[in-house]
Amino acid sequence: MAVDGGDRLSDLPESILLYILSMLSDGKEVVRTSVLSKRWRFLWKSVPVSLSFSLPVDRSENEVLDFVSSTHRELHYWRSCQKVEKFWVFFCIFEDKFVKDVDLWVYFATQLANVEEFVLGLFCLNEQRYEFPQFGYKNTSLRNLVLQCCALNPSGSVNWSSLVTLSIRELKLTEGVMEKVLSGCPNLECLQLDYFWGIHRIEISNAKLRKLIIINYGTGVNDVLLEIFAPYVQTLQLIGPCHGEICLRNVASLVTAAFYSEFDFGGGDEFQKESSCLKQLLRSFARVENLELGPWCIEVYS
Amino acid sequence: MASTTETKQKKMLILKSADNDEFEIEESVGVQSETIKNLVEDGFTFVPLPNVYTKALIKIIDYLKKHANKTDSNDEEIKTFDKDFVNTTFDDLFELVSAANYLHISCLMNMLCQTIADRIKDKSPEAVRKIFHINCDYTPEEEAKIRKANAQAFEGQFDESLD
Repeated sequence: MAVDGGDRLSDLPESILLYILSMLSDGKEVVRTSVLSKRWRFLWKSVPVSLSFSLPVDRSENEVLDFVSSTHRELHYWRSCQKVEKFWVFFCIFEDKFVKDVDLWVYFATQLANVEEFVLGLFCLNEQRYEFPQFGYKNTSLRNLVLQCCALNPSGSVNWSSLVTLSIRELKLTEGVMEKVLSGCPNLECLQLDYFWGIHRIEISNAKLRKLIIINYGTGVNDVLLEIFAPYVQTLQLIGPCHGEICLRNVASLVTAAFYSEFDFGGGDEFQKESSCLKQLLRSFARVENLELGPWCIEVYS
Repeated sequence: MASTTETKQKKMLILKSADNDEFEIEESVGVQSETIKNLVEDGFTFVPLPNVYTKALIKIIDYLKKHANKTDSNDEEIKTFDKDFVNTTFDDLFELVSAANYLHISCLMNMLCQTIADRIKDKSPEAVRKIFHINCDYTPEEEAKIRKANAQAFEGQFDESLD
């Protein structure tokens, strides 16, 4: 390839230049173009970018601190970018001393950059959880939200008015919290609860929420029963081991159900109970059009 | 080979370039362009393209014909075609990207913009300026200020080569 004449690249309309810049996979690469000439100075701020930061497990104390400070530094210059579409952060060693740091990431996602997709993938030892900050409960830009190891305790009302998918992982829930969160998500279409415990009842009255995915309910001792009231849900997926009985109280709109779970109430003598719970659950699937059953279910009945 | 069962006349379109050349193409080939598709849906069969010059239009029609006949078995052939398609001068690429943008052909836009972006990727700003003949109109002080503002983006080693 050869250049035939002058700077015809810079002469292209801005929309095409932004398109070209959006094809650069590394955000820093996009920022570097600011130095090419005056024409390029601010273009990078309008390029849609996705930011992803992740700290793998088993890192030394210094590496963890480096990760935290370099993430802050990078976010500092992205705060003037108008189009951060996605912000993912995976932080494998969350401890109390990092609360302020994680608060800043949530602040960036929900108040500064107004991202559409925010994944906060924390990993905690023991029962420790990151308390999701109150300011984060009000945001109208988020469409997809994934929170892992975050305690949810909204003090006021929640407003996630644009949210379409919500995924909550590794969390002890308290009764009524999910209902409070859901009441602030009028446009939610898909809810995924992954490895959660502490509640016996979940009521989903959002009319647009059509898909519910439940993975890994319960930890054992107290999680004996989860009652689900979800009159508008059309697709239900149950996956992974369930340490308590799942009871569908109202799933009147259900069209598609997939049961890839297995009941495991602890102890080998629980089989009778497990299979009778399964029977009851299958009865609530009687009117669905599409039903998928996983290996455990088939094993029980063979 | 003419098929005897194919009695139905194929719908044709006329595209007219900015330099007033006319090209007849099948409607099914043309509608890969959103711009053309919208006109066809409004009942037009004659499509003037005042922003697309003949040279670019010939290449784009080639592209559309090739991609209209995409099947599972000619994947490799299309890949080779695409590779040859973008192996051209920057002037041609810029001409094509403007045309593809006007015609709203998203797969072609992706391919052309990616080709241009690949020449920026990993390069130092100095190399990018040379490759694209970009005239730096910053004063050295201004440039230093911009680099400082986003210092992290300028850390590390970059490719200084011009190929």
